[in-house]
Amino acid sequence: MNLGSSNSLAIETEDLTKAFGGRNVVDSLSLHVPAGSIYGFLGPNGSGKTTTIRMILGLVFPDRGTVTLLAAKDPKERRARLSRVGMLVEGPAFYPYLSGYDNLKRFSQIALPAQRHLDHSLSKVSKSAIESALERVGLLEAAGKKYRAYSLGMKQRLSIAAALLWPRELLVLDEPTNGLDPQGIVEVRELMTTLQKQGMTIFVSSHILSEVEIICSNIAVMREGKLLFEGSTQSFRGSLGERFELETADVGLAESILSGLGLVEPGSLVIGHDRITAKLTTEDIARVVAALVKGGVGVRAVGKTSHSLEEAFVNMTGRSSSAR
Amino acid sequence: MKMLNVKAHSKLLFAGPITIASSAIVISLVMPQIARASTSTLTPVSPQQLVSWIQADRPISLTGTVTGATSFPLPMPSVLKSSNPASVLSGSTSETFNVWSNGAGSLRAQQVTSAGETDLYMNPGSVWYWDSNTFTATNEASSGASKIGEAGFSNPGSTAVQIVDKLSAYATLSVSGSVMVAGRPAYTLSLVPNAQDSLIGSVKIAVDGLTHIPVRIQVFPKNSSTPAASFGFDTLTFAPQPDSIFSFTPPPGANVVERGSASGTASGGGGSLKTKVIGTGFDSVWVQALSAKQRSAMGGIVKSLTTISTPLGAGYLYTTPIFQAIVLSNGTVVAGPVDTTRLLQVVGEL
Amino acid sequence: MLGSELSLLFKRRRTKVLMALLFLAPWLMGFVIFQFGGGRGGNGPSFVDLVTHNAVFLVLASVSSLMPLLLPLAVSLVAADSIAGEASLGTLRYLLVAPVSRMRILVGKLLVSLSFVVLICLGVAASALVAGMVFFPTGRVVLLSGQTTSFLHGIALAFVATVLIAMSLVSVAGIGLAISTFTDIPVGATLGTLGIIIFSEILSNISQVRGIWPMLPTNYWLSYADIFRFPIRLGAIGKDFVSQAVWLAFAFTLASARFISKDVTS
Repeated sequence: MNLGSSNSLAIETEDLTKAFGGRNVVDSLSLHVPAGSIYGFLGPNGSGKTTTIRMILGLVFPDRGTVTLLAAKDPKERRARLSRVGMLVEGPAFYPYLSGYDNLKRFSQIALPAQRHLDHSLSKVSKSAIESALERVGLLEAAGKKYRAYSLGMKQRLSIAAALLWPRELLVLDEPTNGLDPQGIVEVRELMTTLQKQGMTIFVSSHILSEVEIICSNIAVMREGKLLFEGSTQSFRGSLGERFELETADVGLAESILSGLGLVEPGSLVIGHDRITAKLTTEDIARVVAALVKGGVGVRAVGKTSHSLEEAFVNMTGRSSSAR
Repeated sequence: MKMLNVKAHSKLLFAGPITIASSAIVISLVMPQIARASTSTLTPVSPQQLVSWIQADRPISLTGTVTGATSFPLPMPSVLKSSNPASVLSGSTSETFNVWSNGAGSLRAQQVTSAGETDLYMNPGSVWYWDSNTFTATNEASSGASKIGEAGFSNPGSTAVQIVDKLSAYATLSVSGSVMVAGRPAYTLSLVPNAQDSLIGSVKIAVDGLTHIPVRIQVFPKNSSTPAASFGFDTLTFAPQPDSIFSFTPPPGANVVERGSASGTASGGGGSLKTKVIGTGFDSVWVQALSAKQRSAMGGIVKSLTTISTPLGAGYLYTTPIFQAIVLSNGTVVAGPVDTTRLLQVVGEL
Repeated sequence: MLGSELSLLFKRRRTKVLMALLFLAPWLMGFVIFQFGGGRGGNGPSFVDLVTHNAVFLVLASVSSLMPLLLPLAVSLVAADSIAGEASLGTLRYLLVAPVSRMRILVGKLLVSLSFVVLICLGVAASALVAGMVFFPTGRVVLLSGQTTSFLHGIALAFVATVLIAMSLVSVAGIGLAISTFTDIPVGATLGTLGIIIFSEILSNISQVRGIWPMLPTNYWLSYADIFRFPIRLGAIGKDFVSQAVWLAFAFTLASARFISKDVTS
């Protein structure tokens, strides 16, 4: 999983760990985000994605481990690099009593003087820069409206506009499609592709794979603070393989027989309401069915399935025998 | 691993506020103790020397803060503060004044309240009493004599002179070492009453070691080392005082009250009512008939006292560690630094 | 940074309403006293009784009656909102990743609260002076000690007293900022700050705890009145200065210790 020297990584974390209330929310996480990629950071809600993003951005202090952001490891240098990072963290947040335009103005006013001594390439953000950022996300007409009057989708767009106020090397987008209608989701996806083509690295988190899968070049999957997979989207698909599927009313019994006889790969067992899927350790399905029948399991149907990426994702992150 | 610094040092970061808070607490608690603890030795003097210094009572140009305090409720409106008598009765009493003296007969006493003040401007030939709360200036020009007594309340010196003049003959005098008063070393003249039946154990007068003026008076009950009443300087600075501090003319718009010389006392108006003194020195008993006005003023306080049966019918008993008083139903007050038995005996002889 | 913070504060309707109310208070007070008299002999502060004599005293009557509750409330609202408000809106995380350093945010917020303190005190005083000159005479000013001074000197004294009142509120701004770093709920931070101030005012009325009085942030709050005495007494004013400075230092170091090491999860 070595993706090359750290020089070509936009974000690298090593052994990153954070506990809240005695529970490891992020557990020994090592991520490698290649520069120039669209990196899909996937996992169900509560899997530790947001905490990871907060640690990368310096909002939360890790208990253990390191973060390297745009080749900067020292916290102070890392903070300086943030001016080259656009972001959306856990939804939009602006002052409800200011207009969209005033919010962006405040953001650039407060951000730029603070950054100028860190990064001399930055200059004052002009009125036209604010307007063009608003135009890019289709908010120019609503620029004078108070933020509190914005719809959820408009709020989301405004934070993307804030990330586009000045040139960035990296975009960190936490669930950017939340609250957007299908049309908006498509637009955000197109925007990400465009920005990547301009040379930006895009780190995008989502709990819904299908929304980002199409555009991602790399994928990482998290569950309960642990990294389950990291690699190219292609290798993610390849790792799936064929699965055995059993339909029965006796899922509990079937599970114990399959596990007990060592017929399935440990950890691959996924149990549904009246359905079990798993990776078999043997090619001989007949032998498996015989064992089940002998054990008294009412077998309704068996088969082999080849999963879509979405199903694989659900299988990987959803309820499985190892989580019980 | 610099990244971990903030987290690792987060406990250390709190050292700042903790240090500030703890040193502020220690300083504000310990400083007064240190100030009190400092002592100084003075060259020994005889009691007679102290008495003569006290009686000299040379006016000196000074400014300072004076506190009069009693460990018991005092049913008397304080000198400068027109406080509600009922509130004075609840607990111990403590009044603080700022005083100025120019050494040439002018004296000013100021009692400060949160957003007001009362002042006594005493100059040769005129006495003004100012109350900013009522915006009233009271002139006592022609009754200076009675006000001299009041001025004594704001000046330990005059009180000390009166004590020494009137009581030193009935007490054993001694010098009891040096003390610190208002941060300055002072001699202490101790007067122990000769009378065995007095409630007063001793009266101590502190005399400034350098300027030889009286700076504090304490009255101790018998068998007690805590004063029941004390009156003295908390701070004291000897320096020339500008005349502007003592000058007073009623401001425009003020209520000006002129008090005639006819009413002998500040609270007067009821004609001359004689005080009879039975006995001498530390066990004398005063018998005073109150005027109707005084009785109505005292009415509320008297009702809060315990009742006692006397040879002249029911009365009210007021007790403190250093003196007691009985208010009779006919409005006569019998009081003195003696126990109840002696007071009742006097009542029986009326 | 300060400019942006100030414009953020004053673009808020809440701030505008608060300031309008504070600045109207002296007019209301002046009008009531003008109509119904000073009510001499009441329990109110002595300045209220003096208002009918001179316009200058409306300045002091106004600030002294706003001092125990309304001025601390206004300062708590702003100071306690400073970090907790940004946290509850979520804008704090965007400020931090903008990036603005945590100390810079803290110092900026403190300066805004302090500016607000000075602004409302001077605003109330100026409004009161104008109201006073509309309703009441403007002759020589009677000091608390009974002596008089010129009207202009009286205005100068009122200005100094106003500055001293602003100084007395520095601890409220500091405490508000400190509490603000411990919660993401601005209302809670405001109530907490106001609670501490009211608690301090209650304690300063209980003589059994006389020993801790000098440590209370509100202990010397009435010291500004000493400016209107003759001679001016500087003792309590000096103690107030020390007390406010110590409280500010304590509150600010506490706020920075907390804020620098805080995980921002809002």
